[in-house]
Amino acid sequence: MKMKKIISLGLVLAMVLATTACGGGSTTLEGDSAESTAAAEGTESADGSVSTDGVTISILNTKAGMEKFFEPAFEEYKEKTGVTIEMTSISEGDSPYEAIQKKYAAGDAPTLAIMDCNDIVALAEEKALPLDDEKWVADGGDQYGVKVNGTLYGFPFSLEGRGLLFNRTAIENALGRPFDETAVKTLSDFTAICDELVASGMEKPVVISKEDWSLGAHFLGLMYEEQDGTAEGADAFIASLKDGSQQLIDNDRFNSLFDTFDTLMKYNINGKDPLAADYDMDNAYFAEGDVAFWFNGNWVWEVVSGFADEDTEFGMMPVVQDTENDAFNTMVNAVGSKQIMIDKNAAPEQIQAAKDFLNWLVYDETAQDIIANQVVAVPCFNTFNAADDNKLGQALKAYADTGKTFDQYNGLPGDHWSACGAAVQKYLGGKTDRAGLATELQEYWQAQE
Amino acid sequence: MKKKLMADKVKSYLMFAGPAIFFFFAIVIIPFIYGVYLTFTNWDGISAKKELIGFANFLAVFQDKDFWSALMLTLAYVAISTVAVQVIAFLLAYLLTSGLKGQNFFRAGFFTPNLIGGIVLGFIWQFVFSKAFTAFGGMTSIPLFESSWLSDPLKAFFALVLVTVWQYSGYMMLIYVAGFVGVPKDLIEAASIDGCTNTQRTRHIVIPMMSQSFSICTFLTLTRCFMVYDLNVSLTGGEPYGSTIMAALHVYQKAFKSKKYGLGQAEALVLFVVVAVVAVTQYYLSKRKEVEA
Amino acid sequence: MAKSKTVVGGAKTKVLNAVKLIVLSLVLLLYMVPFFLILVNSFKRKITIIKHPLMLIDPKGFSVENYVSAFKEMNYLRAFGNSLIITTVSVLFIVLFASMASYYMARSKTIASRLSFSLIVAAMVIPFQTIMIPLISIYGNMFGMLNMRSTLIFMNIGFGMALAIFIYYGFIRSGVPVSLEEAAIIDGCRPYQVFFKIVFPLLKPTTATLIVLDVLWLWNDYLLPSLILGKKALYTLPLSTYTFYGTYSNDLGKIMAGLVLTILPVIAIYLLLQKQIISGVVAGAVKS
Repeated sequence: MKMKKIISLGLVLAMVLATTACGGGSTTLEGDSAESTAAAEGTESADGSVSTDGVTISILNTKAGMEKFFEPAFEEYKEKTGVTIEMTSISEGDSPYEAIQKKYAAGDAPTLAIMDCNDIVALAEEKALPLDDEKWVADGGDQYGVKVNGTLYGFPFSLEGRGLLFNRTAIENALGRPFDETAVKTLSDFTAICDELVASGMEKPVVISKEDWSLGAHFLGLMYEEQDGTAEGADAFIASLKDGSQQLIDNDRFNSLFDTFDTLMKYNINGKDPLAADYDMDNAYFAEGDVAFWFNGNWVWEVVSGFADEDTEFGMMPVVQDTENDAFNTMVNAVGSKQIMIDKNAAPEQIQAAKDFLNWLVYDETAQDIIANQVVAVPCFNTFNAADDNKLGQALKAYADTGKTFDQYNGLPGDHWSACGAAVQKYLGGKTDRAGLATELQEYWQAQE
Repeated sequence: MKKKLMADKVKSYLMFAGPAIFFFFAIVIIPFIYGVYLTFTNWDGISAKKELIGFANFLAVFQDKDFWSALMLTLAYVAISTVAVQVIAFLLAYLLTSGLKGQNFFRAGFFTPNLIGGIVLGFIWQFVFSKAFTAFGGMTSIPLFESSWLSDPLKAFFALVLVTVWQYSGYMMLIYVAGFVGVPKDLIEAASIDGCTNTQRTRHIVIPMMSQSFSICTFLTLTRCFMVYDLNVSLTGGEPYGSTIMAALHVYQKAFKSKKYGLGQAEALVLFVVVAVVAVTQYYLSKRKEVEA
Repeated sequence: MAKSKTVVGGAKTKVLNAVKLIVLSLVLLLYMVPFFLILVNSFKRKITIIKHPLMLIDPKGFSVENYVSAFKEMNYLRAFGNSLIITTVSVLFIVLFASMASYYMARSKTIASRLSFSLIVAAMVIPFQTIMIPLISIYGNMFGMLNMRSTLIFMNIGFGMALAIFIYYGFIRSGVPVSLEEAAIIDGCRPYQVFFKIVFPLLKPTTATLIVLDVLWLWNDYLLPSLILGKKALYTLPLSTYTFYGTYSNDLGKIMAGLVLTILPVIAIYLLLQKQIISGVVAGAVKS
């Protein structure tokens, strides 16, 4: 009897010991499976001396839905180069950061990962390979790739910009005259247009999507970016929110942005129950001209183009505010969104293959065709252009080409969009007022370390 | 002699329970213990750096207001869902053991929601709540359906309850059916001969005989509801404005979105303890009742 | 009221039964609404699904287009094969190991046996999120066992033990007479023979229940497979359905078709085994 007790206890103990032993050498578990190859990083692989024949590289794709366009090309790529590419997509509901976190925990780090900009910032120095010496840097990579402390870590997959999207055809049909978006310079101009549209029968000329990424990351993001247009300016602004030297409710940018937001809310087609908005419906309203304006980005083209008539014209304009001589009333936000990073702990031949692959994305015609015409993205590189019939992409490109864009701020914490998005949702739903919103946002920042 | 007996016992333990215990320890217990260890570190989920920081994470659990409100919400959800599931499942089982025509067909029908997994269920119902209900509301002007349930904190909460009841009532119904079928016929006959009315019979004979079914169904519903995650993610995602985030989802977001893995893990452990305490209390209370009955 | 007055209460009973039948039918109809909506919408174009979710037939006509492309893009047959292998093998081992262990635990009164059982029951309330990262850390990072179907099967067996043992244990305690085993032992049966020849056949109803519950769980499981199977070639049906969910847009038509295609095999099995499931097999759970 006693014996069994001892044995069973021993069994449990052995298990516990085995576990803690595993845990003790911390790096063996969560570290990188290929730690030893870290030293080999950059073993003169840039000159192509490493053979990549028979190498397999993996890509974590966080722009779900895009892999079906690439997969056929990967077969061809394998025949040509001997490199096998495995593309896996993010699970539903996961953010890119969550997805890669699981991959790291599992010691299954992808050779290439398509991440959001702030993820690159968070991961760069520990996980990502510097890319400053790549050929594509001069062709647009330098301008749109994510840098940390001056070193380039991200390959900009596509150019994305947000602003007020508009359905030109719908507006012109309602007003009976051509619409010139550059004439809309301030919030009062915008309100005048909206009133005119209402008078001509378009009862609710605006749609606001209630998604937390739209409100928390995209709209609220403007508040940080438009402090003075630089990352330093945003950093300083956030620091002043944290130490309380700036009360958010007194901040001009916060107030002018939410003045605009109030106007959008006033004309919102989802106004009766704004939080019941349905993203698919939002797309349809906009595409079919039930509304004229939508705060969103050029990426909606993928869906909108499927709903809209071929000859409907679309465009993009700044989020105009009630401010004087404000450069931001003439600019839209543009960013090399979806940045690709290379795992610096991958084997040298994988790193080489990964670098070759990035070159392929920039210089190969098959890849260019996939990116521009099938994924309908706007390229960040001057080697090729967005599809002609990508009307929102072309609009964004026009701003970029004339220098009328400002940068995205990449220093927001991973839970900013859900936590602060929830606060803006409350505001949108009428559950809090401007002061309440400001307090909640400031509290968020003060809880950060 | 005694030693041989012992060796025999060890041998038979290993022969029969060995494989099960091996898999169980390898997959559940060892990772669990390792997870407990992680609660004493400041690991962020990614970096190789991981320092022991003692009980700091557990202290932080007590300061995390959102965790406790998520836990309170979960308790409310568990309480309402558990009661509603039992009532409906019991009624269905009662009706479906009264010798109706086609009762097997009905039993099968009510079980159907269990053929689908949690995440998918959430998406299906999201479609129903946000599109079908509102379209229905638009056609009929019934105020309850005119706007999406998912945009209002209270209605979204009841949307979660509704789907839970929809799914589990069919499952629990089967267990209650088995309970009804298991009530000995002679007992009922004896009661009838003694002049019991139908209601009396149900109250004094059937229900006490069913107490075992009650305790099992309650236990299963309780534990499942406490750990609700899939449905929470896919139906409401915590919205509107974070008002429907339940404990498991909060824990997950803490660990991954806020990059505080150790804290998230510590909160998960607190959740585990709460569930364990509630489940064990319920189990023993109902066991005692069973004996009394 | 109606019970023993059989002769007089005949008409009354009939009316009552009719009322019950109508109520039940209505409730069942409500229960079926979501399935019906999925089925109807799977034959429509995305724009019609969004704008008119209740419309039965698309204005442009009934179309199986969604099914054709979902079938192709999901790589349905491959995913079906993966789901089938993973589910079958996992269930087989769960049934085998759990029944053996429960038999031992139900009969043996040693501390080791009781301790094991309590531990297993207690583990039923461990939230999966608590062990998710440690699990993949250990098996991915230490042993490099990711991206293999066998790893997933291995884990399924581990996760399946608790409920299976819980259910078997109760049934063996209450439903399998010890006298039979004693007789067999006197006849000179060895322990395994006793179990496989005498006990296991008696567990048939419980086994059937368990198989159904486990098949449903494993066939639909999403989170664990998504962590283990990172390669398209290994995707199960739920994993491949999720490829239709995009970051900014969901391919609703294909999702609906994918869902139907995923549920279809389960429904088929369910219809086939319905009798076993329904006719009191869950008694196994009750008796524990």
